[in-house]
Amino acid sequence: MAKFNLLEEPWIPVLRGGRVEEVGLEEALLKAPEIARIETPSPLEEAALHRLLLAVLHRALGGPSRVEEVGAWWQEGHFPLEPIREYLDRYRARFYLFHEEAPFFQVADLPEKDPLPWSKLLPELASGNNPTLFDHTTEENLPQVGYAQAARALLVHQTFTPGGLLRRHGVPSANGAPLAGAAAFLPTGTNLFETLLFNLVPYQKGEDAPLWEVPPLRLEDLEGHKTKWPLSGVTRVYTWPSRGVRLLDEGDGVRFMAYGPGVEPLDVAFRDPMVAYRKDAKGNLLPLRLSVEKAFWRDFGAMLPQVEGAPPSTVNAADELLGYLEEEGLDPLPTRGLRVLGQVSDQAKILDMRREVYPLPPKVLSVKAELNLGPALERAEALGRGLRGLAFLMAREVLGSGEPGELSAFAASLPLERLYWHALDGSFPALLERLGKEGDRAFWEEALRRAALEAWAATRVALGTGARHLKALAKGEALLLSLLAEKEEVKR
Amino acid sequence: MKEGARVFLARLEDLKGRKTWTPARAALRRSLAFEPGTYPPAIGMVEPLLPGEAEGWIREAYYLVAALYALKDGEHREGRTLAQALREKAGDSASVEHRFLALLDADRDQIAFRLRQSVVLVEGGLDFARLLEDLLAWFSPDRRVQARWAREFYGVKEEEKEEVKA
Repeated sequence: MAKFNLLEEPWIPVLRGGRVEEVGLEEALLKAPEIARIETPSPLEEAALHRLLLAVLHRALGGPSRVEEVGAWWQEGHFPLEPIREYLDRYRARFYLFHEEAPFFQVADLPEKDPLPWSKLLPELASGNNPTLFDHTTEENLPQVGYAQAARALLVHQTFTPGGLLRRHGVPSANGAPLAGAAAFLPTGTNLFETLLFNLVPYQKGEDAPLWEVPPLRLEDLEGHKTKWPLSGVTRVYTWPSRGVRLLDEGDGVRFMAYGPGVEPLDVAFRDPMVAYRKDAKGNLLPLRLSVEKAFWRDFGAMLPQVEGAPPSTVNAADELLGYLEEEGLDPLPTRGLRVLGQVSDQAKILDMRREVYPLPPKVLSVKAELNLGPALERAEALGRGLRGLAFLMAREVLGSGEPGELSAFAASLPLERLYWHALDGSFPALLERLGKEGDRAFWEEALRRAALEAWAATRVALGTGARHLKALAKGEALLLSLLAEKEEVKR
Repeated sequence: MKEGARVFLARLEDLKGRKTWTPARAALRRSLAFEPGTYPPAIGMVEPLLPGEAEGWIREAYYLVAALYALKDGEHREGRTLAQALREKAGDSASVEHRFLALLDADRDQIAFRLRQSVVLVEGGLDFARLLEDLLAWFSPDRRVQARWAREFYGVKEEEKEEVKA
C-alpha cells in the first residue's frame, strides 16, 4: 500500500517558464536551475519546502565544507547530479506519504481513534481556537484534500506548530516546532538553484541525520515522550518530528488524521541556520520573532554582531558566497533578495503569517554597513517614540484629562505611528541597497522626515476640525517640529 | 479674492480720510447690532464699496469687516491677525482662550457676535484685509482658516509653518 512517493509525484509548487506547476522533490533538485522559485501563497510552506530540499542536499552532497565548494557548483551551473540520484534512490522507500512501516514524516501505527480533521495541520485554516485569518472552512463541512496539499500541510505543521496542550498518548503538552516562534531567513537568487546554494551553510555529516535516515518512529517511541532527541544537527532540525501524525487515506484524498505527540526536543546549544538571534538583558540568545505590530526590519539591528546578536547562518553563507563570486569576477545577480518568513503567534494562537522581502546587497553584514545600520534604526525608533508621545498629547488636548485607558485608546486610534512605520517599511529596502555608500545617512534622514510629515498630514485629516481639534493640531504641530529639529541635531 | 480685500481696505481707508468719517463710524458701529447688511444707514455707505458680485455670506463678510473696522476706529495694522492679537491678550487667561475656541467653532448665526466680542477684547490695530480674506473662506469645508488661526494662537512660529504644510 505504499503510495504517493514525494520524490516522484508532483506536490511542490514551482514557477517555471512563467507558469506555476507542481513537481516532485527529485525534479525540483535536479532541474533547480530551470525553476525560478518555489511559488506558494503561504510563507510557512515556502520556508518548510526549502528546508526539506536543503536537508536532502546537505546529506546527498555531504557538505558543503567550504564556500569554494559551493562556488564550484555555482560555476558548473547545477548540482552534482549523480550523488543526488544515488542518495534519493537509497532512501526512496522512506518518501511515501502512505506506507505500512514508514510513511513520510509520520508514525505508521498511530491509532485511528479520535481522529482530527486534516485542517488542524494548518494554522491559517479555521479550527479550534485559531482566529479565522483568511479562511472560511469549518470543521462541520471539512472538504477532502488532495495528497499534494496534505503533504505540504504536514510539512508546515512539523516545522511551525506551536507548543501547547496535547493530552494524547500520555503526553499532557508538547513543545513548539523549531520555527514555531522564530522567523526564517531565506536569501534568494534568480532561480531555485541559486537560492538553494545561498542557503547551504557549512555542514559536516557527523552526528546529524534527517528523519528518513533513522528507523521509523513508532507509537511506543512517542508515548509519554519516551523518545527524546537533542535539538541539534542541521538536517535533524530541518526534519524534526514535532508531532506524531498519520494521514488517513480515503482512497483519493485525506479528510482526517491520527494525531499524537512527537519527539521531545532536548535543549542544547544549537542554532538553527535560518534563525537570527539576539542577546537579551540576561545574556541569553533568543531567536528573533515576528510581531503583529511591527515589520521585521525594525529588529534588523538586534542581530548584528556589534550588539552581540547573531545573524542567521544562511545570511552569512549567502554573504560569503557573494564575496567569493565577486572575487572570482562573477557577480551576475541583479535580483538577489532576502525573505523573512514566519508566523506571528501569541502562545499557541497564530495571529498572522508574514513574508517580508528585502534586497540583499553584498556585505550587508560587513562592519561599515553595520555601523550605519545601527544608528539609522535607532533614529527611526526615537522618532517613532516621539510620535507616540505626540499622539498622547493630541489625545489629552482633545479629550481633556480623561481616563488613562481612554487616552491611550484615542492615541492609538490616530494614524500617526502606524503611517510613519508604514512609510518607512517602503523606504527600508532602499536604505539596505544604499548602506555604506555615499549619502546613505542623508537618504534615511529624509525618509524619516517625509514619513513623519506624511503621517502628520493624515492625522490632520483624521482628527476633525472642531475648535479643540484645531487646538490639539496647533499644539501637536509645534511638538512635531521640535521632534524633527532634534533629529537634525543628532545628524550634525 | 486677495486683490478684492486690498481694494476694499483701500476704500475703507479712503472713507476714514474724509470729513464724514465720524458719523459714518457711528453708523457702522451701530450696524453690529443688526444682521450684517440690514441696517439701512450702513447700507448706503458700504454698498458702493463692494465688488459687483457680492451676495450672501460674501456680502455679509464685507459688511462685518467694515463694521469691525469702524469699531477699531480704522486702526489697521498690516500683518497682525486677530488670532495673534488674541494670543498676546490671552497670556494665562483661560477666558480669552475659551472665547477664541468659541470663535473658531462659530457658525453663521454666531460669527458676527463672537467676532465683535473678540475684536473689542484686543488692544491695538488689526490687519483688516487679512480678516476679510479669512472670513470669505470661513465656511469652506476644510476649515483651513480656522486651522491657521489655531496655529497662530497656539504659537507655531511663522517660518516653521511652511514646513509642516508641505
